[in-house]
This record gives sequence, structure tokens and C-alpha cells, in this order.
Amino acid sequence: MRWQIALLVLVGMIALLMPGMPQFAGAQAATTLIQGLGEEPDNLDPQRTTRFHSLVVLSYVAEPLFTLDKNYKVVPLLAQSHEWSADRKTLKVTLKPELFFHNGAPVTSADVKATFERYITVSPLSSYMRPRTGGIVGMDTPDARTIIFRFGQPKPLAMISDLSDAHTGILPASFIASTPSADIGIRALIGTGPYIFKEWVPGDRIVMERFDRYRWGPAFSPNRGPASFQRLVFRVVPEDATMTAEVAAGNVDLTFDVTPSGLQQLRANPNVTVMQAPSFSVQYLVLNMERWFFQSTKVRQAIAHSIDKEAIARAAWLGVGRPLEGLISEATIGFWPPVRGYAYKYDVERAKQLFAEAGWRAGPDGILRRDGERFEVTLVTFSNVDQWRRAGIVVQSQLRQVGIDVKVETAEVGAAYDRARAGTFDVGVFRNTWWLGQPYLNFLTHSTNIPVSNFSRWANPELDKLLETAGSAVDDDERDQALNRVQRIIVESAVWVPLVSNTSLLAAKKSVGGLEVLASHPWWPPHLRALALTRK
Amino acid sequence: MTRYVLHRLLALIPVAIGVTLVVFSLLHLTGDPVRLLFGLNVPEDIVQQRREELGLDRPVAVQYLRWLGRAVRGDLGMSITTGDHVVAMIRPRVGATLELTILALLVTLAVSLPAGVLSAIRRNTAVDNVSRVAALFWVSMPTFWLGLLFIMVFGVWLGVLPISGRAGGLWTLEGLRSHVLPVLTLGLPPAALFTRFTRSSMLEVIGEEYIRTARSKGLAERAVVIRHALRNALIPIITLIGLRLPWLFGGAVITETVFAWPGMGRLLVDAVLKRDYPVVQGIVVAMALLVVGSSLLVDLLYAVVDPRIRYE
Amino acid sequence: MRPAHVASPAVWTLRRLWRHRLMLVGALLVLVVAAAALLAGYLAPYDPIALDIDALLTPPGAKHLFGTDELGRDIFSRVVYGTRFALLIGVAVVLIEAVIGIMLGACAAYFGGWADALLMRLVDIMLAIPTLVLALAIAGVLGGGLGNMILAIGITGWREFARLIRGQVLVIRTSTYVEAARAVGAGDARILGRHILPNALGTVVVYTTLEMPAALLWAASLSFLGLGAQPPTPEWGAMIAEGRGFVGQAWWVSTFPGLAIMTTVLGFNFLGDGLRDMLDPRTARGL
Repeated sequence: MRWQIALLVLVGMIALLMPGMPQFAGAQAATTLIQGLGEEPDNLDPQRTTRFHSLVVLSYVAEPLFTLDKNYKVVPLLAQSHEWSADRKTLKVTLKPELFFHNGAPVTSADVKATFERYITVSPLSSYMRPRTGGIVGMDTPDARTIIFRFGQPKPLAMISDLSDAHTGILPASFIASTPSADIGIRALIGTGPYIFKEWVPGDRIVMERFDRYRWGPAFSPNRGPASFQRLVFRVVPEDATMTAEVAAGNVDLTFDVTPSGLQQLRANPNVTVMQAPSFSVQYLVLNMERWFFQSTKVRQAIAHSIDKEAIARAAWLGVGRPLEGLISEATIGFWPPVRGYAYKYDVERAKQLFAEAGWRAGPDGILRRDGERFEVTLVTFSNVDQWRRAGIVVQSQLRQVGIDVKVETAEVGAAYDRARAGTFDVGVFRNTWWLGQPYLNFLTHSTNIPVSNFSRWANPELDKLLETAGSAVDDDERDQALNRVQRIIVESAVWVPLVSNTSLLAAKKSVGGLEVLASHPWWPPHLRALALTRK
Repeated sequence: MTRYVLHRLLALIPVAIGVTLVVFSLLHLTGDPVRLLFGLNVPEDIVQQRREELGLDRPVAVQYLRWLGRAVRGDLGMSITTGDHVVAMIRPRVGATLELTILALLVTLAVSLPAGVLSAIRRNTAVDNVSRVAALFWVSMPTFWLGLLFIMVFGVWLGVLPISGRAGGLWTLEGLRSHVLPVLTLGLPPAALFTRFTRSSMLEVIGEEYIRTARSKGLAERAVVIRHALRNALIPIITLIGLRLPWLFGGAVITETVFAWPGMGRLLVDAVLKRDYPVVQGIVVAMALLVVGSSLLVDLLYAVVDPRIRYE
Repeated sequence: MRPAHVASPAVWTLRRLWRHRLMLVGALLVLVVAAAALLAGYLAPYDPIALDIDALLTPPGAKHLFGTDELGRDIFSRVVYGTRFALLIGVAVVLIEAVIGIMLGACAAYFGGWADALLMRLVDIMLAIPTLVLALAIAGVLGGGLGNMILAIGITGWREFARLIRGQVLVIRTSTYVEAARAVGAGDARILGRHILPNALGTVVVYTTLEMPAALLWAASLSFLGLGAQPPTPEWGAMIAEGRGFVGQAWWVSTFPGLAIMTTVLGFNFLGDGLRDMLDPRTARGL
């Protein structure tokens, strides 16, 4: 009796430890792509979500009218053509013929209108398009394929900032009208994208099925539809170390959520391909200008000279970050390369000299003093992501070298911004991702955004005026000139010190094909993620 | 029996209300969930509008009473981050958490009962001492560290078990395999404690009169140990199970995070980090109710094990 | 086989010795940790928060006994300084728990009636919420950090103390010397403070030793979830959490702080287990 039980237990254990039945797994693997997601989307409603991972996933399902090619030029997606009025207050868009939603219904201008009405009412990111700010004051639909947007003020950036943004993914008017708001993007989502939303097991996976009628992929994609994989499974793996292990073990086909440390580890794995691409991200240091010790330009410049960006890129970002000279990254639309010439170089001697000129002398403990006061500051940064927090620690150590006693305090994103807004910090190290220059710089540096998003609390009328010109001038050149000047003023002020921009990372199994197509496009846009990948 | 159950169920009500009050007041001390949700790129007026929509601009007492009024009708409010009903978010995850905790408890008992009995009958031998030291080692290990070690050894180096996720129900091979590591991570550390506890309650029972009687009647040693001693020793063990239930759910939070298990614990961690108050409240209350409900079940188990107990 | 309940004197003595040996080992471990905390400045070869950009993730060796972490900090020095935070967390948490628990428990038992009923209700409520879950929620609201984490665990974990003290006081309250004190006209506060609490303290001390490892493990868990000590504080839980991304390529980063937690917790467990045995060898339960 006893040995029989023991045998049974043994057989059971062997069965459990046996890797999953290969023929079954193989049959599925050929037509299914499993993608690891480092963060679970909050919801997949294009108009309601603000989170990056939600946008990435919903982009497989819902599509905006336009998209961007690798030169950041607006190219048609659902739209076939467009026509601006001379005053940039009226925009006429014509839809492609033969477009269908996943429920089989044709896409009409009424759907576009309904979507944009929803966008300007519910989306927290639609401020440029809201009627109150001179945005959409009316939409006309003369026929089923034509929609005319009427703006209250000139909106020269409308196409690039809103109409080609995933937040304006077009949904059927009937779907919007008949679906409870809490269900959209959670239990149901209908769009025109290459994949159909099938099932969302909360905390576990999101399953999508190929849309076989899809033929309208953007011109830059070699495959314009339908996609190669029949099924797409997004597996939620929030723990970084676990994600790395899953990729190493081959349980996940690919992920864009591998950490720098994971990348180092996976690079040595013969079964895994890793790739990097520039991103729009900007990690920067900002000084609270209400502090008396930062009023001195020399002190600010000395601090800028004390920062070794290369070391931050190496230690905090484990080599996947690149030093940054301007407050927007090279990949961001509107970047002005000459800004590099104005950035302060790492030079400890120069920094010490500047501190001395500003009246600061090192005390017996090596910390600078002036008028009996020790140079002590509190540095606030994010806690959530390892490499963000590490950057704060590296800055702390570098400032200590020149004689500033830095206390680091970390908090998750929301709490850190609360402190920044309340002004209870001296130095902040923050990070943003924003692909369009003007609105982002306006947001971070315009005096009307003190203290909501301009944490420096520093008002500069010249900067304000240039930012306004860069956002609303009808002439393209005038806008560009203004934005270039903005970038120079920001860097020269040393109120903000750009630190590093990280690269986007990817780790995939060797059996995943089409990565070279993805790599041909600087930021791996969602359409290539959906259409280019195959199984070798 | 029915009256007892009803009585216990009624006693749940003040506990549940107390739980909600404690949790609600603690969570509203600080923080701005809407700003956290929208991040930096959203202007202040839009944030303020959303705050008003969610009623977060009212006094905390008003917010609490409104929430309680709806909770009584089974509506725990809407999540701030997803915009979904909190109940709809929790419901699909209860099963995964219960499955994990129940299986872990079974593992705990499957390991600790035999080991405890063995330690008791081989008292003060090498077996007993090894089990004692081993038990202390096990309980000294942080759960998440154990989980990470399991992942490294079985998932990565040996590559024999899935690393994370719940691949399906227990009835499929893949599903079953995906349960092994999380269940062991959650179930093994308490097994150490239960082993020592089983041992000491066995020792007490073995010393009792009726065991000696049974022995003197010439019953086989195994029959004495299992039929008489273990059965009586089970009563304090069941008490311990009841006491350790909250600990089990707490451990599930860590285990689910390490193994990407789609349960309530991970949802809680997510919600805490994003300061999604309604979801945090909902889960803490739901977990408290699960704990109280399971303790009720444990109480009823006494009746099964010990026929002398009658509930009136 | 030999009936287990009639252990020979020799076996009994051996058993006591064995138990006390474990307790001695425990006391020794705790002493080592305390000594490391006191002498950290002399023991640690490096500044625990100094970065070395040219020595990232160095394996253990002669220069760095336990290797370096992802920012080039010496792990041995961090582990040594970590003892201070471990002891700080353990002592502070248990102190908060004990103060709340003793005040509530003693008052409830001494005054009885509605005070007792109210406390027991509160304990019921608190017992229904898993400690880690509540501490997690509170720490999240407070915003993380070492102090907030200690506070979160402390105000969650007092209920066992309250129950323990309540039970003790209930017994002592009816003892003859308390009756005698009352007869000579001593006030409530005086009776509680001078006669009842000192008699209950023995149990409290033992329980404190047993509660210490639990506090350390809870703290490590919260740190792991990102709600613990602020960087670059060399706190062990946070060190494991920071190093867990490197397990595949640099095992030493999270292994040594993990071993440090385990050793310290083990020390307190051995010590507490032995103390409990000595205090009440007959009903010694659990471990």
C-alpha cells in the first residue's frame, strides 16, 4: 500500500516537472505571439487613458486618422487626404474608401465626429483641441467620407499633436452611444486596427485575434495587412526580475519592458535578441528658484558643471542612457542640434572656481559655507523605477564631491509631483516622455504653469513670449526660430539641467522575425509592432 | 447550529463597518490620487474637474457615508485609475487568490502533520532536533526571497517549471504546473510553524489517559497515533489555522507580486502605489471579509473533528 | 519503542542543554548584530553610500568582501551599516506596538465593562485585516520611507500585545497583593503602574523578542514592495529589492542582505524560543 502511494506521488511529480506537451505548444506557437507587458493597462479606452502601456496596447485595436513616419512627418492612416485653410482655422479630412470596423460596419465621417466629440469632452489630454482654448468649435460631415474641423483659433499643430495621436483612435458612433462608459476599453473595444480585442483576464492577460479584413496599414509598413500572427497574447508580468527570467526561459516571445539590468543579462543569452532605439524621454534636474542660494547665476552654473552626465548614463542607466544637452531629446520633434554648444560641460575645477566667486568656501567637513550657512539641499526624485531613483543617488554623490550636502527623498510619481508643486524641495530630478517639443517646453517652463508643471518657480517674460509664438504662429519658420531660442535660454539659465535620455529596449526570442523592419523606424511605432513581426 | 451560524454572520456586520471606518479614515489622511493618475501632462483645471466628478473635494465624513451607503447595496464605487466598477475589478480575482491560499494551506498541512507526528513520536531524537532547527530556518526567510530563489532555481537554471502567471485552471497540465511554485512559496514557511505546533499538541495528547488505555488494550502503535492521538491533537491545530488565516492572505500579497499571479493581492499593491483609494478600500474590506468568513468555516470544522462540541 | 513521556533524567538534561545551546547561539547572533551596529564605523572598510563608477557589480573578492552593487557601493559595508537600521526598525516597531498594546490592554482589563468590550471589538476588527495588507495600505498613504514604514507596522501590529497584557492583567488584578494595595487606598493609576504592569512585564519581554523577527520580516516585505527606507539608506530589505533585477548576472547583490536578514531573524527566533521555554517549559508551544 505504502509503496503504491509513493509510486503514484513520483509519477505525479514527473508529470508536473515535464515541460509542457511539445506538440500542443508547437501548434499554438506558430500562430500566436506572446508579448510581455511590464505594467497592466488601466483601461484601453483611447479617450480616457493617459498611461503609456494602455496606449501601446490599444493602438493594436483603434487607429487615429493619421500617423507619423520615421521623419516625424504626418502620413495618412484612416485618412486619405487633408486640406488646410490659409488661416489654419479649418481642416478638411477625407477618409480612405473601404474601411471597416471590427463589427463589419463601414467607417464614416459620423464615427469620426462622434469620436472627436468624446475626445474633447472626456480626454484629459485634449486641452489643445477644447473649444475653450480655441480648439474644435464645430465639425461638419458633408458626406460619409468627409469631415471638416472648424477651430476657434489657428491650430497649426492640430494634425501632429492630436489627429495622429492614439488618444483620438476612431470608435464607431453606435458603439460609443450604446456602451456603458465603464465598459469601453475594459470589457469591449471596437476599432479598425489590425487586431480585434477578444478578452481581458484582469491581472493576467489580454488576448487579441487578427482582423482579417485589415488592408489599410500605413505606407511605411511593408505589410499593409492583415498581420502575420493569428493571435496576440499580452501577458502581464509586473516584476522586473520575473520578466527577465520569463524572456530567458523562452516563455515570452518578446517584450518592450525589459530593464537595463535585464538587458545586460539577456545580451549573453544565445536564444534572445536585444535591440535599442532612441526614445523621447528626458530626465532632468530642476532647481527651486525660491531658494536664495540658487538666485546666483554662478551657483547654478557651478552646479551644472558638477554633473557628470556620462556617469549617470553608465551607473543609473547601465549604459542604455545617453547624456542629454537640451531639455528635449534628439528624437523629439523640434529638437535644435546647436543647443549642444550651449550646454555646460562636466568640469569640477570650473565648478569650484564658480562657487568661490559666488562667495562659498569649503568648511572643515568639506561642505561649502557662506555667511555661516552650510550648503544643504533636499533632492526629490521618483521611487518607482530603479533607474530613475539611481539617477538621483548619482547626482547626490556628484554634488557632494563639490561640497553640497544632499539629502535624497524619493516618492512614487504622484507624491513626488505633489512635493514639487508644493515647493517643499530644493532640487528635483524628474523624467518625462513627450514627443512634441513646443507643448512640452511650454508645459515645463512657461510662467503660467507655475507651480503646476513649471517646478522651477522662475518666471521669464522673454521665454513666455517665445513659447507662445512657437505654439501659434502660422508661419512654420517663425515657430521653429522661436522654439530654437527657447531651448537655448533654458539651457543657459542653468535653472534646468538636462541629464540623460534613455533608449527604448526590446528583447525577443530568436524565432521572432521582422525585427529589422521594426528597427528601420526610430521609435518602433505600434503599426510596425502589429504588422511587421513574423515567426521564422 | 443554524442559529450559531446566523449569530456569527450578524456579528460580522459591526466588524465589517469598523473595518471600513478604519481603512477609510487612514487612507484619506494624505494624497492626491487624481494628479497621480493623470501625471504631469494635464492642466490643473482638468484635474480639478475630475476631482469634483469623483466627489474627492467633499469632506471625508460625507465621502465615507456616501461610500458606506453604496457599499451596503454591493457597490464599492468606481476605480480612479481604470474608471471601472471596483466590484467588477475584484470579482474575477477572488478565485485566483482563494485557490492559491487554499492550496498553500493544504501544502502546509500535508508537510507539517506527518513531520509533526514524526517529531512527536521520535521526540528528542535527531529527527526531532533537525525538524526544530529546520523550522526556525524556514520561518526566518522572507517570503519574497524564497519566491525569487524558487524562480531562479526551478524556472531559470533547471527550466522545469513556469516562472510566473497562472496558465489556467488546475484541470490542465499547464495550469497545474503554473501553480507549483507560488503554492510552495506561500505554503512552505508556515509549514515549519505548524510542524512544531503539531508536535507539541501531539505530545500533550499522548500523555493523556485514554491514549494509555488504548495502548494497553493492545492497539497497534500506528492506529493509536492516527486514530486517537492525531484526531485529538487536531483541535488546537485547527485553532492555529484560524489564527494564521490573516497571515496567509498577507503572504498572498507578496507571493502574487513575485509570481505575477492575477489575484487580489497584486491588485492591492498596484492600487496602493497608484493611490487608487476606492480599489484599496474595496480590497482591504474584501480581504477582511474573506478572513472572517474563513474563520467561521474553521470554527465549524471543530464540530466535524470533535463530536463533543455543540453550537448553541 | 520507549514511551516518549517518561524521558530519563539523562535525556531530559540533554534536551535542556540542547535547547539552551540554541538559545545561546541565538543570543550570540543577536550580540554580533548589536556589536556590528555599534562598531559599524570601524568594521566597514568603505563609506556605505559612496559610489564607485569604475567598480560597478564587482564580484566578491579581496578588495570587496561581498562584492559591489550596481552603483559600485561596497556591499559588505552596506550590510554592516544595515545592522543599525535592522535594530532600529525592530526596536522602534516593537516599542510602538508595545506602548499602544500595553496602554489599551491594561486599561481594558483593569477597568473592564464597556472599555473592555470596546477594546475587544477593536481587536476583532484589527485581527480581521491581515497585518501586511493594512500596513501596506497605510505605508502607501503615508508615502513610504523608513519612519513611515515603522509607523505603519507599529500601528498595525499592537493587537497581540493588547490581548496578551489584557490576559495577564485580568489574572493579576484579582491577586491578593493587588487587593491589599486597593484596601490601603491606592489609586487606579498607582495600582496599574506600580503593581500590575511590573508583574506582567516578564511575558512582555519574551513576547517582544518573539515579535522582533516578525517586525523585521514585515519591514523587509514593505521595502520589497517599494514602500520602505529611502535610498541610499543601506537597509537590507531595500537592498534586496534593488538587487533583485541582477540575480541572473550578479547573485551577490541581493544574496548577502538576504542572508543578513535571515541570520538576524534566526538569532531572535532562537533567543525568543529559548526564553519562552525557560519562562514556561511545560506549555511551551509553537516552535
